Amino acid sequence: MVFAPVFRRFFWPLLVFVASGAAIWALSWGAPVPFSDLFSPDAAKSEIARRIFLELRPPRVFAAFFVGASLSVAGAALQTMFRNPLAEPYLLGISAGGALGATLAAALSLGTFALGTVVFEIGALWAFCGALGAAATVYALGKSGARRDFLPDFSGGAALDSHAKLLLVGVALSAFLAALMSLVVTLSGKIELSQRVAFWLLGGFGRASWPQNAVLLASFVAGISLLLLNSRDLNALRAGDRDARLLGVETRVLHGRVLLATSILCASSVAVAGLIGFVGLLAPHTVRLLLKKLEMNASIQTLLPASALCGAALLVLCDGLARAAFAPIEVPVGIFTALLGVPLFLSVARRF
Amino acid sequence: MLEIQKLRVEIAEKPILQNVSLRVKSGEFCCVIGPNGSGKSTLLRAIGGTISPQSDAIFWNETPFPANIAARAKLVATLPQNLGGGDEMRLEEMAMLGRTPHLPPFGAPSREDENAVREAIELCASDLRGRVLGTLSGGEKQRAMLARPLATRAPILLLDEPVSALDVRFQHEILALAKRLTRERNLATICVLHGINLAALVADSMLLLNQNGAPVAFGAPEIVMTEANLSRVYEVPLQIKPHPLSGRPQAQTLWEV
Repeated sequence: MVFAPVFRRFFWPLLVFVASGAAIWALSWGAPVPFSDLFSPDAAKSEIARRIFLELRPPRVFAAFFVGASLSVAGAALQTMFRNPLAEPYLLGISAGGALGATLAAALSLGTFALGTVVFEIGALWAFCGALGAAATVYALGKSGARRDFLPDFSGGAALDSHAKLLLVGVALSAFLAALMSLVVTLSGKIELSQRVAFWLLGGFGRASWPQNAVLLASFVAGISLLLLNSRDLNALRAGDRDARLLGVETRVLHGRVLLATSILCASSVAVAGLIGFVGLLAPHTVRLLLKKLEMNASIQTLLPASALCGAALLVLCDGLARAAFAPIEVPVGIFTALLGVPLFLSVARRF
Repeated sequence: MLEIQKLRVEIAEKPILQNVSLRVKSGEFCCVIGPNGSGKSTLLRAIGGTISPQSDAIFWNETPFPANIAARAKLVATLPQNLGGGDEMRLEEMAMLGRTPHLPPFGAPSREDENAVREAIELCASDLRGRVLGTLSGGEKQRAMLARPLATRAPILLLDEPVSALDVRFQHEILALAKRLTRERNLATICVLHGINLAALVADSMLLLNQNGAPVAFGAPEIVMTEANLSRVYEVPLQIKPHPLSGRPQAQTLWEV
């Protein structure tokens, strides 16, 4: 593209603008109450506006923003590590692992729900353990050549079917974990829990609250920092595992750190919003496409923050749609991400 | 000087290399030859550190090789047979990966890193600046890939069959470039080659491995390329004739068809 050098300057401003624009727009979309009502002389009017704009919508938009960012960063990191363009926390079963952990915590009544912050943190911790367990499993079973690396094959070409193998492992793992989750719900005999789990499986931001959002924000910062602090090695990994080792990268250690970071990112997202798929696919691929058009390098230092902004904008918009498209019925947000994500998945899958 | 003393490598309890000893001075171009499965590539991997490091067998300037692979990567740069990935990268980005052992963890390149990359590209692929690797032809890509190990500025260069998929022109181009760089930048270069005659033409010294990964001969091409050595290792009757132009030993077979 001839104009690429000109447009390149607008890459970050564009992403920041889109993400913040989406957040402001999502705050205003919903019940037909204008921002100006906040300053209305009519006490009843301003009270309603105050509740909507200061109490109801901000935690929800905040949650959608950071869940979108977390899942997108996790997706971009997993795609780099597995060297598979279709890797994504939902499709690999890592989100399902987090959901199972959170369900277990609820079923075993680890803490009481009324206690707010403290209880929630325990739930998120369990979600983290579940996500880490699922991530380790999908790595051990699905990473092609994880063990064969040390055999005398210097050619380094990845087996053609390794892309498919990883996804098959992920699908099987998801199904297995979903079955376990249903089992836990059934055995626990808690009706309230089955509602919670149904909500988790569909995904949504109806239960977003500030204490949860604090955990979400902290996890996002921790996860993306851990990844960015390893960006030199992650970039080397883009040339393949063998080449990364030739360049002096301890790939096993690096893989472990990526699994840890993605588990942190997924667990807090699942705990807040349940299973939301395909965001981790949509945002990184959009960013990569944009980088390619602008003839920019898709280095980790660019890809991760850009994916975060893009994914945040995407999920905030999808949540806005979920609230407003069929109002007053609220549609689970996962439906919109799947409607957008599955065509992308299929078009990427066709090329591999 | 790179020195290997009685290197032994076993993979899954199967001996791949036995008793391999080798000396390569800085500025020397050493070619490793041998039949398929003789462990030529394994030798490079043992030096490069991608298989269990035999730190007690490999020495650089009389000090044992570091066991830590990050420290080792500063000492040894490898040109693999083909790219493990990263076809979407531009030449500059791939060459910058060669600086991995020198970069801080966050990955921000210093002026020295930028200079090393620019110089490496200048040396081997100045006409390919800004190109995406996936769009290059086989010969161009091989030249472009050479920029990565060069950017590392390591004193030891390992080349794994750098010309096996190339036609005569590119074979000549790549090997001439590798030899020139070895001399100009005073590198200790070890190059695995499939073609024994090609190796005899370019090598300063040669190492011949047999089917079991044991060394048969090491030294100047005239010492290694003998009828007795080659016929035994390759199990084909071979005759040695001097090359009509350079006088280097060349192995010839008689095809009975």
